Amino acid sequence: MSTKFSLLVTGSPTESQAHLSAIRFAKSVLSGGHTLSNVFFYQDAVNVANRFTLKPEDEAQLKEDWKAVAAQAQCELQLCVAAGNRRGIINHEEASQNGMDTNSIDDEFVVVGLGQLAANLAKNGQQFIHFK
Amino acid sequence: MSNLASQITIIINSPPFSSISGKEGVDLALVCAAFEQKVNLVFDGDGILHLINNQRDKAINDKLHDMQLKALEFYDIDQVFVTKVSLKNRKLTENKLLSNCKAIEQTELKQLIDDSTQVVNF
Repeated sequence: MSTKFSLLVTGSPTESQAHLSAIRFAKSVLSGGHTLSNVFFYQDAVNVANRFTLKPEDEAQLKEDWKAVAAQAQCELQLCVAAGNRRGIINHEEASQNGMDTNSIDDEFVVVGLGQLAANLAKNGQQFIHFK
Repeated sequence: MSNLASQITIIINSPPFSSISGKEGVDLALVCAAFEQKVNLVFDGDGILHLINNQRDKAINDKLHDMQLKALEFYDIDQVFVTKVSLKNRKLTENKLLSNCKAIEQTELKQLIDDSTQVVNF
């Protein structure tokens, strides 16, 4: 039987194991024939969407790994706008509205309101898993 | 397909000031309530320190969110729960907290969690 999963990630990409664990979990969900409806990044987890991060090649490339998971699952990588703005994770629209010269968010992440997380939580028929 | 009868319990374990985790948890509680979900907001462990009723923001040059906590009832979060064991362990009593708090036993917390469709910890 196939199960639907919705993930919430709140742990920092550099100060916690949250992303490594969540990515491994997401891959297992997909390889087990289950579906992933969305991944929501909140609190320090939004830092993973920063397009300016550079990591040594032999370390885990979390942002690229998430993009590969999303492409395979055909699901959105959702990011809370308020949590992002606080941490300098800014999309094109916010950057131009605030007179900043460029965006800092990777375009494959979708900026949404916290209401989207409330909707994910309220949705029937799926398992909700939190990585912190 | 969203379920209007869904009940979300949000548990704040992290203390104020050292991080904004508690504030971001309260933000989620407010948004869930605005989306007409039933929300149980529980402060446990060091999280109960958010609720101390005589904190002064002038002393820290930052905004306290106790105003936000005092406004919870306007967002249909009528009651804020604190665990009795967390109060006892910190030698605090209910009269030191904001007025809309209700102290509960661990068994009552377990019941709230059992009755919830989702639980999120901050």
